[in-house]
Amino acid sequence: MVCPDSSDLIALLDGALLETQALELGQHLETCVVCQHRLNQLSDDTELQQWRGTGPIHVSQPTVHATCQAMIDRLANRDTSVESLSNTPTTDDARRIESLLRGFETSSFDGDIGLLEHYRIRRQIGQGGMAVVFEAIDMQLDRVVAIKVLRPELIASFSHERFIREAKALAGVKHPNVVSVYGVSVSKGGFPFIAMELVEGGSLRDSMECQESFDPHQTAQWISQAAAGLHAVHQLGLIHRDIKPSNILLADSSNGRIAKLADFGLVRFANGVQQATATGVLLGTPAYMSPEYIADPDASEPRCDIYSLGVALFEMLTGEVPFRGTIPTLLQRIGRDEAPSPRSLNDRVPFDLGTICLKAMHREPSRRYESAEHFSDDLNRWLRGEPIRARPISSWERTLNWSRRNRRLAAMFGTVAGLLVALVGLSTYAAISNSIAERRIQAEKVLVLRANHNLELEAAKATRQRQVAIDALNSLVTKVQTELASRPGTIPIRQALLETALSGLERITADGESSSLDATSIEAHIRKGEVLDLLGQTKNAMSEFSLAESMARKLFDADPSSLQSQRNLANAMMMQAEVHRKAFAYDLALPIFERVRELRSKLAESAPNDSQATHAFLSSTQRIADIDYYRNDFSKAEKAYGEVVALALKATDLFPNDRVLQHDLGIAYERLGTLETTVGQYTQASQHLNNACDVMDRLIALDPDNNSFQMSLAYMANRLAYLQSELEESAAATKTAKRSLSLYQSISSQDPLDTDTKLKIGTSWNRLYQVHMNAREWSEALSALQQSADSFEELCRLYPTASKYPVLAIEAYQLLFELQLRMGECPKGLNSIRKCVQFMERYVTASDAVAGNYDLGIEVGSKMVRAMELIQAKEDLLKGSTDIAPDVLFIARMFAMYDAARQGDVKQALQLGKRLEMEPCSHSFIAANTQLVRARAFSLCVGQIAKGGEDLNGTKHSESDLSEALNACIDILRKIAWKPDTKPDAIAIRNLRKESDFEPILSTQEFEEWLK
Amino acid sequence: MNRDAPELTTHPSLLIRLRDLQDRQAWAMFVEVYAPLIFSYCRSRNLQDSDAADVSQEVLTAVSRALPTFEYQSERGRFRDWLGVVTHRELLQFWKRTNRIRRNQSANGQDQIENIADTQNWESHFHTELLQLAIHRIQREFEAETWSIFRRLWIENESPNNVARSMQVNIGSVYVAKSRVLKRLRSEVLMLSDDLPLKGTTDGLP
Repeated sequence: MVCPDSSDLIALLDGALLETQALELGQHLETCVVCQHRLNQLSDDTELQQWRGTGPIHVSQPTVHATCQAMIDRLANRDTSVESLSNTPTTDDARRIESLLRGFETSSFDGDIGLLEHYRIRRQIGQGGMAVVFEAIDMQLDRVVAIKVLRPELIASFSHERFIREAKALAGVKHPNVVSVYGVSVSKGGFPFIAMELVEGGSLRDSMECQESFDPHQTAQWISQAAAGLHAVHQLGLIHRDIKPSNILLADSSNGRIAKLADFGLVRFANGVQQATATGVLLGTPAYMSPEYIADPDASEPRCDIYSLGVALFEMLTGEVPFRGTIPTLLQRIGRDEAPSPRSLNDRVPFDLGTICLKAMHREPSRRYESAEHFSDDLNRWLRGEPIRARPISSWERTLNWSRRNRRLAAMFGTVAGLLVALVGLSTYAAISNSIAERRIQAEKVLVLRANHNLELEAAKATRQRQVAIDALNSLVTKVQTELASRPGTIPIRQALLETALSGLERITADGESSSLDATSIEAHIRKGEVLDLLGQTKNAMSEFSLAESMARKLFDADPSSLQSQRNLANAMMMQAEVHRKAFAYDLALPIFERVRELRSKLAESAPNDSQATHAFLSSTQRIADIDYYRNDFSKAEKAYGEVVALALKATDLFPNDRVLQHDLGIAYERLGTLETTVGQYTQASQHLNNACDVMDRLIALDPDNNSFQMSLAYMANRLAYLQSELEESAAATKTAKRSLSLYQSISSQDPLDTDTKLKIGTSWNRLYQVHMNAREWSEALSALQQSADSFEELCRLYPTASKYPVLAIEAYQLLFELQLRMGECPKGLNSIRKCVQFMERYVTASDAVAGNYDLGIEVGSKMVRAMELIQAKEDLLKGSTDIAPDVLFIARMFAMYDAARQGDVKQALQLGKRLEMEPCSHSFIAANTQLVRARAFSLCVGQIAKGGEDLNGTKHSESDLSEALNACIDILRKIAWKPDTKPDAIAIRNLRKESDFEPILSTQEFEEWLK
Repeated sequence: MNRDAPELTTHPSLLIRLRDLQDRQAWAMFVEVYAPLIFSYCRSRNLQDSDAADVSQEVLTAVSRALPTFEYQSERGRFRDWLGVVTHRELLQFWKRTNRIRRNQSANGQDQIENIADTQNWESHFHTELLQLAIHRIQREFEAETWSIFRRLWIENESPNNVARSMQVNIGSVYVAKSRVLKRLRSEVLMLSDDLPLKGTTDGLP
């Protein structure tokens, strides 16, 4: 046979030949060495041959080293979304533990597994990746402990150092929220082990798996406790590195179950000294690892733990970890994706708690909580119902992030305008654009300023020049104060700018400490508080101030000698005292003002050339004098104001061109003049108030746009008008009052959001009314009063939740009512009284009305009773106005009843009370309050009867009268027990009942229960 | 006779599959294949078991991070080279951490680092390990006779005539067996490592 073609040989190798052909070819091959050689070459694979090399090849089952196999199991088979660091016991595992047990000495006690030094090992209670945990009895100290023994398979390959280090590290942490370590030792058999506190309440993971009901409060408490424990760990320079629900144990305590941080298997020292023995590999449980830890395991720092704890909180709230998947998926996602909001998985998660959670697990470490303590504090704030420090990622920031990602798109919006729309939002931008011309120029200036700052900030971030960013933000905050605070129409812009600054600051707060950063933050918080205060959000303002104070105090404590620290602290305290002062809480305000003055006096002394320090000192001195005045301590106040004027004169001599100090001088004159008006020293008063107005006139000539100068002048004119009116210089008084009013009106028209000025317009009208009244110009007085009432009414409409405006409105309408009746305008008077009723209702329903401030209602009501007397004189009037009369009559009767009771006319009171019950009132609030008034009336009756059995009129009352009154009283109180202000009444009734020897209507026990 | 003819082209490359983050099987397989390979390499570089396991874990997680982002792309070079780079990087890290590269050697520190990247050793280690594993993985796909022909011929380096004689088969069958197993082996190696392109698909087609 002729030698075959290569194609035939290839076909043979591929099995592509027919059987007969193959047979034939096979026979040829047996004898043809050439073809054998050819076939050998064709069947060969030179590359594989190369791979094979020349050495021997092992084809038996490849043996995998146990340590390697453990790593493979860890990496390959774990569902990484569930933490189970080789938690599932395998037969191998059982065998290994068996060998561990064999290492124990034999115990002579029944039921013991074995003996390890002086510990009787009772039973195995758990096992982790590194250790097995037993319950044991410490025979020396006679207590139950947990014994943690290093896994036997690790003993060989593992230097004991890591294990011992864990124990030593842990032993240094003494904190109620960290599992205590009692001791560490190596047994005779060579087992390193740790004796530690036995915590028996299971872990957070167990509690989650038991599917206890969704309880965000409990969760927040536990996580807050764990964070507190974590902080203690961090304080010692340790990093936990494996925070997860199964490592947070629950211990029973007198305050319910508390969380304790455990399993410091991966703890290592943050300072790197001990790193030589650390392995530097990814240890921990992937689902709880922070992005930066995944990127570089050696860079783990406290904030990685905060992240992990955030994930634990997330899981507790939603039942899910934020990222799931196999290890590569998971690591990818953690490194790349934004965590979902917990509320997107469970809408029952409270909004603020969700915000806290997202802050803790922010992708950027610098935007997480600075420390575990901050995390814990914020959770506690939430638990106490206080405003939290974490803020949701603002919409403009999201826009910014978005536009950074989509630069081309952003560019399409055009340059600055587009950026501005993106930053401040379309509506704000439109609102600004639509305002009057000057304001728009102003606003655009601001917006450009803002845009610049944002760009600067971005640039700074890009180049990682933190200081540049801080400086930029600092100058932003300063500009808000120096350029905008005294400009009209800038409240929303100021607020937005400060928010910008704060969120920018928060972003760079993280890496390292910087006093200039903190100072800027403090300043920003103070400014924001001011803005909020202007917007009428007193509570929020106060929380900004107290936040600023606590930050400032921290800096101050760290370095009490730093002028900056002193200044910051004084400023933050001053703002809080101001809020107290405005709320008439002088007892709260005064000590703070005094402390501020002390600080500022030192500051002014140490910097005699700093006009600002002098100004600061002056204004705190001024406030203390004010409080003397408000408290009617006139002689003290007079002296204090005199000193302030002297100080201000000295300061203006020293700094003749300083407008702020000039302003201070004007205010000092005004305060003194006002005081003198009060005490009747009209001559001096007139002189000083005129001085004050002159100072302000000069200043306004220099700086006509300055709002605060105008505000001051308006106020001073108001005081002067009053004085002139008292001096019966009516023409001058009217003129001055009108000037004050028009100043306020012009300021207000520039700044529609400024409620304070609106309020002042109302009081200015009121002043004008008084001036006209003094001048006996009735119709002018009437129209001014009507204007005043209208102003207050508008404020009520704009701010329905504020309680102070309805009070003012009620008073204004009441005055109006009296004046109208006096002038014979009865129908209008009725209208006014209707308004009174309306605003009384408004007052009681206003959300921030002081709970239980019922006295004001009674006071207003009694005013209305007097009004009723006027109305009743014209009975025909009442008949004609059916819609208002019943309610007015009702209120009249209510207070008549109260009056009767107060005067001891029990019969009359009871009779009126019954009538009130028969004819219900259509105003729900009046109806509810009437009950209380009735109860109080009856209680007065009971008191009268119990004392002597007769009332002031000498009328004798029977026991049945008494029990009727008592019954009625208790009955009513029961009905309205939901009102917070009924408790004192209930107690009063009980005391009355005790005094009288009458048969108890309510058993004591019954009563106590009801009181609860 | 065709019973033990394996399919050659049905297995998509493991490395390609790894790009699909949802493919958990691929990941598990990848770890099972490469963890022992890297582990034993580290051991051969005088690392202790636990250290070798740590470094291997680090390499694998680095790989897992890089794969979906296409840091490794077959057109830029071979997987084994890239894996070698990653492995040596982690080894270097490890040595740095454990201070095995000391300061006083900084004069010839460059040499040290180059020594670490011992490409020659790495390549032969990679080849042998992968080949052994691939051989083991495909063994069960073949009939006992086919396999022992291949084992004796290719692994134990017996001469074809010897094998034919002692197995009492004709010489042609010996080459057919060898050819079939090697083809399968090649496809397995390709599947596992993206190395060795399939013969016949790249250069066999017109």
